[in-house]
Amino acid sequence: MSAIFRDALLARRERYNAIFAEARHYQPQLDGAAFGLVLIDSVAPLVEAAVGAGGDAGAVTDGLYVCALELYGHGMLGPERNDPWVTAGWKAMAGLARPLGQAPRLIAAAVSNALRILGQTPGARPQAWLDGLRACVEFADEPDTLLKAGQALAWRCGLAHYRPDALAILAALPAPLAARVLELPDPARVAEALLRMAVDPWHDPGQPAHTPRLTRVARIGGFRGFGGVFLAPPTVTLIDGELHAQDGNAEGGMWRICADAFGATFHRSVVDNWTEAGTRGSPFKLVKGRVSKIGAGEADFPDLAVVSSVAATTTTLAASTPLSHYIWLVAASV
Amino acid sequence: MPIDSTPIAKVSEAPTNPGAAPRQKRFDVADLYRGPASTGEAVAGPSAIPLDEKLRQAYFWIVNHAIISPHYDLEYNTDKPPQVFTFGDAKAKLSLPSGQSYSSFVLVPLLNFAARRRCLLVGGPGRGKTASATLMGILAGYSVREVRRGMQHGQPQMTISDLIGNPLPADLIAAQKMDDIRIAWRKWLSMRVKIIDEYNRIPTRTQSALLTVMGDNYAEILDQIYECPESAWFLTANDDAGGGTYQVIEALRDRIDVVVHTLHFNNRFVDELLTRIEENLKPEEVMPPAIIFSEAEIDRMGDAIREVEFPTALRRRLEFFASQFEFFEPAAEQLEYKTKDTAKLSGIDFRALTALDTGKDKVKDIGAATKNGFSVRALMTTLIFAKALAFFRGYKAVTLDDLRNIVPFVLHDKLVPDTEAPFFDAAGNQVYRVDRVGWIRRLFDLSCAEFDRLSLDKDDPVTALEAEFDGGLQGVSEAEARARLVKIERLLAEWGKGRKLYGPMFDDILKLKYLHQRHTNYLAWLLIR
Repeated sequence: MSAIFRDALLARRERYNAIFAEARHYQPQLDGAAFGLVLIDSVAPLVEAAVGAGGDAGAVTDGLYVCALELYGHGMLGPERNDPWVTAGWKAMAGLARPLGQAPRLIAAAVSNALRILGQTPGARPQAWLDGLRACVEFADEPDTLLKAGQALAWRCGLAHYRPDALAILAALPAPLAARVLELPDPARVAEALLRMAVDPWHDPGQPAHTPRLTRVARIGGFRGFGGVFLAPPTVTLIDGELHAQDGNAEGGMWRICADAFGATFHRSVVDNWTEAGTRGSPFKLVKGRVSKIGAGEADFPDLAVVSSVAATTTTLAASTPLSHYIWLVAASV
Repeated sequence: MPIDSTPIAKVSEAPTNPGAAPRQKRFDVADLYRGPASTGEAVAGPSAIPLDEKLRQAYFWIVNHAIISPHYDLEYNTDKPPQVFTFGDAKAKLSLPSGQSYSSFVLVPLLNFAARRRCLLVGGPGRGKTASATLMGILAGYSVREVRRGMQHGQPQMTISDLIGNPLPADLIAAQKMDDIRIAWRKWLSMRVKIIDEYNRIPTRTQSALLTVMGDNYAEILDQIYECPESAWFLTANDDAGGGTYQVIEALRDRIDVVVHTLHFNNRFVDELLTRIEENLKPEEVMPPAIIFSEAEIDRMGDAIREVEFPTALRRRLEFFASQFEFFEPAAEQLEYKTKDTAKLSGIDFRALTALDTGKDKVKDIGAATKNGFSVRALMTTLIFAKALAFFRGYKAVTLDDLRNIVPFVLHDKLVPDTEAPFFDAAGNQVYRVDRVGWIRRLFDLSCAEFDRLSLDKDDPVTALEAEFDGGLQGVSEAEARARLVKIERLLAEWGKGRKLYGPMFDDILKLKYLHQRHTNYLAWLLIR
């Protein structure tokens, strides 16, 4: 343990002991020795890094101590019980030293909470988010700006339901930072990329352009027993312009689907007026495994020769089959 | 130490009652950074969350950190039925509710705080009555010191001056007229949470002064008036059944809206007590700012509670339940006076009169199990507390479960059981002589079962006639008015063929008489116009 951290702890020893005693009153399982390891392994390196980047030792120690204690109490940080992504985040936050020094508790808590959400969302990519956030520090060392970039990054890393908010955030960020989030080499291309992504959820500006063709852009859902969503093969429909899925098992419930080029998420929903949607009113058609879309030609999908339900938005066709727990998404990817 | 940085100051994360959440949630990217770790900024905007959510957070903070009440006696179930287990020879039942359930000892005072009514906390010494009331004061934004100083402790020598205030001695000598006498009013009169500890130890004369403050919201000394703000009242009593130093005057008891019993201390939680002693923890001193209500918030909460819908179908069930109790056939000759109130005013022994009420099944007639009926105040209190409970749970309309759960606490001291009635001798009912909450809940269940048996939800002729009348009489033709009169008369004639008269029919008959009179008068006016 460095002298900086040790001195900061000693300077407010009574306060830290009182906070721990109070926490242990409501969580008797808290172990002083184990929390001591958390302080040595996770907190001390961050205090040193943040102080090295100009942070105040007392304020940084105070913010990180309280945050670490909360996380330890929730079993998310610690030698015995922990969330691997949160633990990884506390190691990686040394790379966020400057913003961490300015707002230690805000950054530590926000990063921990975000990693927990990303880690618990099937298909999301917490490591990519963490790497992306560290890379963004080069362009944004103010805590608020960095956290804004982190929100947009979370969308890029699989939290598809944040798409509208993320696009708005990206439009407001400085172009070099937005370009970093979108992995574009040229900040001048940000505006055009945002325009295209706003109308086409399957557009990924980081991928090379090609002529539009119908492809299976995603296969989502899966059997709950294997970490998926559904207990029994689902059906799909369109409600208020959004794709929804209903578990074939009544116990499984209904879900709202958010999907785009960067990921897909399912959100429990309550639907009173469930009706078959089909492809009416959309540019798609599906006949015996052949999907066609106005302006994008047609393509064969043998897996969709027999379907139990179909629904389509202007950009995406969703189909389920009687024998699979997955939902197929077809779009004209560019 | 700034309390908002400590774990004890953390309030439960919204939504605290997920069942009440909106069906289609709007996604907010700000949620990315919300979670178990507090950023330290959450308490900055306490009023940003809906008031019902804040009230639930207050409830959960109290049960998790302040009052050790690991009870869930206000049970709610989802569409899944509860799991029920039985124990012992007497088959004591335990149900595991499938929905979010609550502790009455914490929730009912909290609803009283939100609805600004009058709550009596009853129970043995050292059970947390005063602590619970103190927390309500702190919730209203007062410091622990202010709450303690504002608390009135009942004692046998308590005078009106002790309670309300006293005239300034200099003015008493110098004043030429009464208006010149200034009064030093006690500070507690201006508080929005008023606590009277051990109210049954207050002398009778001082109780009368308290009654004026509680009932009419003003205090009076030497013709000087002090208007009190609208406030929530909390009274405590060690033994409400006459164990206080003084008998509580009936009018004062009648002003109390809800009664809540302290539940026993579960001895598996002694370790909590030990830690509090060892670490000198005083939860009331570290209440998180995020759950403290401003005066404006309490006002808005009152408005929001009143706006909660009380569905017509549920109102009918409450009417049906309430109508069971007042009717008392031997009390008078004229139908309107056949009430328990008439019997009570006569001063004749109630037992002697009930002996005259023959020919009915007195076990099935739940009205025969009480010595009185519902007062208007009891009905109004039931309505407001049912709304408050629905509001607390995040619902826009009162549900049957809300009504069923709150009725025993409102009627606890208002519905007087006739413990010698045959109802209490029936198998399984003996326990209700002691268990007032269980008894009232049982009466409500029996009333609902009878309501269902009679299919009154679907077929209620009086409701149909009421609906016609509610459309207004203006423009109703002579022929239509006569037709309605005939309908009423036919219905009465049909009911007259039955042999037994029970409470609900008594109210229905009088309602029909009312409708008949209104139409008769209208017809007379129409003909001479």
